[in-house]
Parts: sequence; structure tokens; C-alpha cells
Amino acid sequence: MTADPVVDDLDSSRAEVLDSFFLPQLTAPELGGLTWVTRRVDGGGGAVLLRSPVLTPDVVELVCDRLLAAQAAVLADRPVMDIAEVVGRAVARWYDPDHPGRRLAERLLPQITGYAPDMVRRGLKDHLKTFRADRLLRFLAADFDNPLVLDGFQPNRAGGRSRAFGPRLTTQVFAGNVPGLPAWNIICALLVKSATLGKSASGEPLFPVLLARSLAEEDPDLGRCLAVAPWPGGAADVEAAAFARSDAVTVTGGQAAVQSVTARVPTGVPVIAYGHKVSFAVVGREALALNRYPDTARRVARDVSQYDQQGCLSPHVVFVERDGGVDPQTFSAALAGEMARFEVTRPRARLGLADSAAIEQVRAQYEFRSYDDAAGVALFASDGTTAWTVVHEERPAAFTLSPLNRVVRVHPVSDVAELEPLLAPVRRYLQTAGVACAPERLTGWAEVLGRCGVDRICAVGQMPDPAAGWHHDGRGSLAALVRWVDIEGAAELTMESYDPEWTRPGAASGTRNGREGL
Amino acid sequence: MNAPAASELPDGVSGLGRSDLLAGRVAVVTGASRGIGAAIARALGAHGAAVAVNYLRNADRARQVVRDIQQLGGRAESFAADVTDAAAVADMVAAVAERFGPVDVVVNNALHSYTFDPLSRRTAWDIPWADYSAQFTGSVGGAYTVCQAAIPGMRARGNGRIITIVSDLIERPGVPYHDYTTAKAAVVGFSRNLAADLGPFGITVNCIAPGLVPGTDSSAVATDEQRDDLESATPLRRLTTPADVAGAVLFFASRWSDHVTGACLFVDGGLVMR
Repeated sequence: MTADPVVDDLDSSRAEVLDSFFLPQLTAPELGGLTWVTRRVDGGGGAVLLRSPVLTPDVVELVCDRLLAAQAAVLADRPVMDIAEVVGRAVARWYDPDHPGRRLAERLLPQITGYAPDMVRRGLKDHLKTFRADRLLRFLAADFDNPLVLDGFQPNRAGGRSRAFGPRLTTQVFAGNVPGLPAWNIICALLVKSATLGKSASGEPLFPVLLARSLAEEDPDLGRCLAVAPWPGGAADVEAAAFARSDAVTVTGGQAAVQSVTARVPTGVPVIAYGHKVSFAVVGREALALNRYPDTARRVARDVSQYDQQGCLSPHVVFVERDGGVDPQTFSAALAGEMARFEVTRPRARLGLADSAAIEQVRAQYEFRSYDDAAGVALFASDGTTAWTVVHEERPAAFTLSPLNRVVRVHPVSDVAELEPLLAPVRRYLQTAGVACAPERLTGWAEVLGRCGVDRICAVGQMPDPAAGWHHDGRGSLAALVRWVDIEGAAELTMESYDPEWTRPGAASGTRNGREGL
Repeated sequence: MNAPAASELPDGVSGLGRSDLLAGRVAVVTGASRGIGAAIARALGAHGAAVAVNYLRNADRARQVVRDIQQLGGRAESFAADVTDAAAVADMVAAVAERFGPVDVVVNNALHSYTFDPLSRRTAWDIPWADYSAQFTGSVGGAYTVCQAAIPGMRARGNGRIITIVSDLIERPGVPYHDYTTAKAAVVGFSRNLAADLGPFGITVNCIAPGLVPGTDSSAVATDEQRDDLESATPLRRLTTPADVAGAVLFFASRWSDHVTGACLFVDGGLVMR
């Protein structure tokens, strides 16, 4: 979370209070009978009051039963292309700058998260572009040779036919570190015809609710298959009720959340966990040419600074090749300049004590070493604040994780192969590698990086914006949700021997004889 | 907590600091209820000047600027006046003199209402003369009217600073806003002629030409792409802030620019170099 949000119970009737839940399964009298709580959420951008009902296991059971009924009635047999089209139309509402949901999100998400308004505004727009109707087809194509397997049995390569069944209901624990991220969870589930019970994150509970409302406005039937509400993380009784009725559980978040959820999901229910991940960038000498390096620095600065480095897509470290037009330390200085400029237009969120102290500690550690010329360390840091930090370190002992909030290390390398030993200790956490190099070297780099554990390779400057249909954390986003049902080819052939023509008593020969008799 | 963001520093002027650099000076800033004008007023106040915060309609926001300056221990007051209305301006200058003493510094910042929309601007082949005329009246006419009211006092005391905000579009019309930019270019000519005539009386006359300042009401419709393109074309790699402009105003308003007149200083991160 950026700037640990202040969350407390509050009895306030003066300020504007917003509903932070989407529960069309419950009637007004049912909702009225629940206990309600109003939370004050302030990520440093100004307080917002959010109202929601307190979910008890009984209520969750009721909501799940109705989600399951709605899924069976309106989603299970709906053609997948029809769903994609409706989702595309609902998301398209957000492309209008005057769309009420978008305006609300642009106004309130910066307050709730502390992220700079301009960063949220442009980040949301870039993110939602991924879900244009045509791009939803890419999600389907990425995971299914023939997406119609979601509608019925289709021929498979093994000589039989297969159909992919999504979960009837998926409980989804959303992340709150990057605004808009739950759109991906909700939409993936819908594409495989699963209803969603979504647990919103305390750090950013609003966006999934606004998106669910848009989907419901576009198609009330789809809306009935979605429920989003907050409940306290790890609330065992509530989650037990939800997990018991779900065919799958997804959890996006930190290590603790992932472990807690995974441990409690009943055996046989798949858990798709998107946990703690680490990304980095590699800048080749071609991108350090005198006519390229300022732009390269600008792109890397954006990758580091966007959402204050909170996303799993944000680089912790930048490896810079030697022998370019400018040397790696000059690149570090240019990167520092760009980080400073990003701070002017899109200031980092205010931090709590612990986060600030973590940055101060890193700085102190490197500042001492920078006094020794032989150490090969240079520290570039914002003056008087912890807003941004670039540590240039010639000879790193290991791949060191950033304390986040715009702290990045730059390590010179002579060849990309040098990365292998450095990345080995973190291989199971690696995710995105942003790269900048000559086209003929891209494949070779990708081989090395893939071997190291990376699952996504993109251009520097595009690290926060994964392409539609990417294999999130190395898995098929939709494939991870479905259960395959195969009709074996041999079964089809064998069924021929039970053809009624051969098996109905007296039918076949009798008819033929009779016809011949005429 | 770590140190607050620059825009929230207690000096209220985005890191421009505080001093008594302009102590005893009386400044009039036109169009000072918002955007660049408000930043200029706060900066002048933070450096010791008594500030007349002129506005046309935004009384509430002008009063907020006054409160901001007063919270820094500075002196300020808001004054409504349409800068193209000679009588109203004369009344304002008299009222300022009554409240704080004679005016030493004039900052012509007020802008004739204009929307910078690159997608719906008038083209060379369809812009009517009336549009140019309106901009001349607002830009040259506004500066003229305020200067006419302030010059007699400045000349009498042998001292004065006239600073006019123009635009770097006059040298690099990246988007050709014909009427606006032509009028701003005319303001530079107007200022240089004043500089020549008023130099003997110890009055300096200078212009400041900012680049695109995002976040102000006037620039609200500039597109994200336009901003990105400008940023990458700019040597200092970012767009202009109100504080950048206010810093240049402090220079021209202070004794640090005693021997500079007739200049036009481009404050646009090096986009225009001259």
C-alpha cells in the first residue's frame, strides 16, 4: 500500500458518504437489516467516507447462493463472444472523460490512495485501454486455440473434443496497490462465465465497485453475477462461507495475504495466487547512444515512478550496459534528473514513518560508501525529501529489493549473461523485465531472461502497461480458471457401436425388409 | 512523516523561499486570483512586498490568495477591477496607494478570456479580425491601461518595475493561436517602447515568456499527447510551473535586475533559446 491509509470507524453525518459495495443480490429491506459501518479512508490526499454493510457468514452464504443462481440462469449458457462484446461496451463507457464513474474515480482515487491525480487519471486510461472489445479477443486467443470451447465441445488435437468450464463462482481477493487492477480479475472471470464475489482492498475499495456498476448498467444480467464488498482481511468465518461455495479462489496481494488465503481454501478448490513479484530493467548500449539516452532515462523514470513503484511491474533495479554512448553513471545522473521532473508533475504520495525511515536507511548506507572513491557508489537523491532516490552501484553483492516509493538501484553490466547469478536468489519472484537493446539482440536477451525466471519482457517505458492477454505471472489468465472436460476420440468411435440403428430391437432389419417388400 | 511535497511547503510558494528582498515595495498583480497570477502574488508577498491581488470575478479565490500571503506574515488585499476599464484601474491604483502606499511594481498577468484548445482553435483561413481585436484589447489594452495608471507615480519617484507576462508561443507557435499569440507579441513591442521612454526615470520594463503551464484554468484542455511531446522537446524535460514564472518575476521585481530593461525572458525549460 502507498501511504498506509488511515482507516477508522467514524460516525459522521456531515460529509459526503459514498457506498463502497456492489451487492445487487440483496434487496433494500435485506440491506436495511444489516449492520453498517462508515470508514474514513485517507491515503494522504484528503479523507473520503465509505459506507458498507458488515458481511456475516450468513449474508455471504445468501449472496453466494444468489450469485450461483444468477450464473446458472444468465451466464453459464451465454455465448462467450456475446459476453466479450458486452464487457467491451461497458468498459467503453469509461473512455468518455465525462462518464460519471470515471469522474468519480479520477476525483476520489487520488484522495484514497495518495497517488498524484495526474498519475491516476492517465494510469486508469492506459489500463482500461487493455479491455477494448477487440483486445478482449486477445485475452481469449492467448489461452484458447478456439475460444468456442467455452461454449461447447470443440475438436481437439488429440482426436476427441474438449470443452472448458469456468468456475460457477470465483471468490476474488482484490489488490489495492494499483488503482484499476481489479478490472482484470473481474473481466477474466466473466470471460470464462464465472460469477465473482470480490473482496475489495482496504487501500483502494472504490474502483471495482464503480466498474461493477458500469457492467450492470450495460447489462443488468451480468451485474447480477457480480458482488463486491469489503470484509476484514483473513476474516475466517466469512471467507470459509465464501470458499465453500466457490469453484475457484483468486488472491492478488502480498505474501501474507496469499499464504493466509491459500491455507484456508478447501482441498480441491483451486487457488490462483498472484503474490509478491519483482521486476527490473535492462538497458543496452544502443539505448545509451547520445541521441537516445535522455529518452531512455525518461522511460525508465516513468517505469520506476508510476504508482510510486507499488506495482509488481515496477523495476527495483536497472542494469545498464557499459560501452554505450554515455557511461552507466552518466545514465544514472540522467535518470535522477527525470525522476526529479516526474516528481514535479506527479508527486509521490506522502509516506508513513516506517516507509520514510526505510528510504533514509538505504540512503544513509550508500552515502557512507559513496565517500570512498574505490567503492564505485554514487547517490542521487531528492533534496530535503525522500521523494526519489537513485543509487548507482558498480559492483552489487546481490539483487537487492527496493524499499519502494521511488527508490531504484542502477548496476552497470558488461553482458546480460552477468545477470544470471544476481537473479538466481530471486528467480521465483521475478516477473517483468523492461529492456532496451538492438532488435537483433532481443531474442538472445529474452532467452537469458526467461531462463532466469522472468515471465514478461517489454520495452522500457511500458513496464506498467502489460499488453492485453499477457500471461500474468507466467500463467494463462483464463486458462488458470477453467476446468477441461474431454470427450475422448476413442469414446466417440466406440459410441458408434451403440447407434440405435444397430441396437433398437427389431428396428433396423424390420424396416429394410418391409421397404423392400413394397 | 517525511518532508512535505514542494507545493505544500509552508512558504506557500513552491520552494521559492521567503525574504525581505522586496520589503517596503508595493506590487499590483493583475489576474491574481488563480493560476500563475496567484503564484506570483504569493511569491511577492513571501519576499516582503505589499501585494494588491487584482481579480475580475473570482472574489473568493482572490481572498484566499490574500489569506495565504497574510499567513506568511505578509501584507495583501484584493481589489476587483477589469484591466481594460481605465476608470476602474485608476480607482484601483488610487485605492492601493491609499492602503499600502504608491505602486512600485506592476505585474501585467491578466488574460483576456481565452481557451487553448489545440483541436478547436481557429485556423488562419477562418479567424475573423474581431478575434485579433479582442486579444489586442485584452493584452495590449490591459497592459496599457494599468501602466498609464501606474507610470505617473513611478516617474515622480524615479523608480518602478513593470513586468508583463507573455508566452513562448511568440517565438515558437507550436500551436498557432493566431489572435492570442499575435497580441502577446505586440505586448513585447509595447514593453520595449515603454522601456526606451521610461529608462531615464529609473523604471524598468520587462517581459516574461512562459512555456505551457499545465494545471491552470487556461491550459485545462491541452491534451496529454501535447504535453508529452512538449516535455520531450524541452531541454529541461518538463513543462512550466507557476512557481517557475514567479521566480522570474522576483528577479525583475528586485534590485537584482537593476540594469535590465526591455528584456523578454523565456521561462520554458529551454524550449526557446534567445
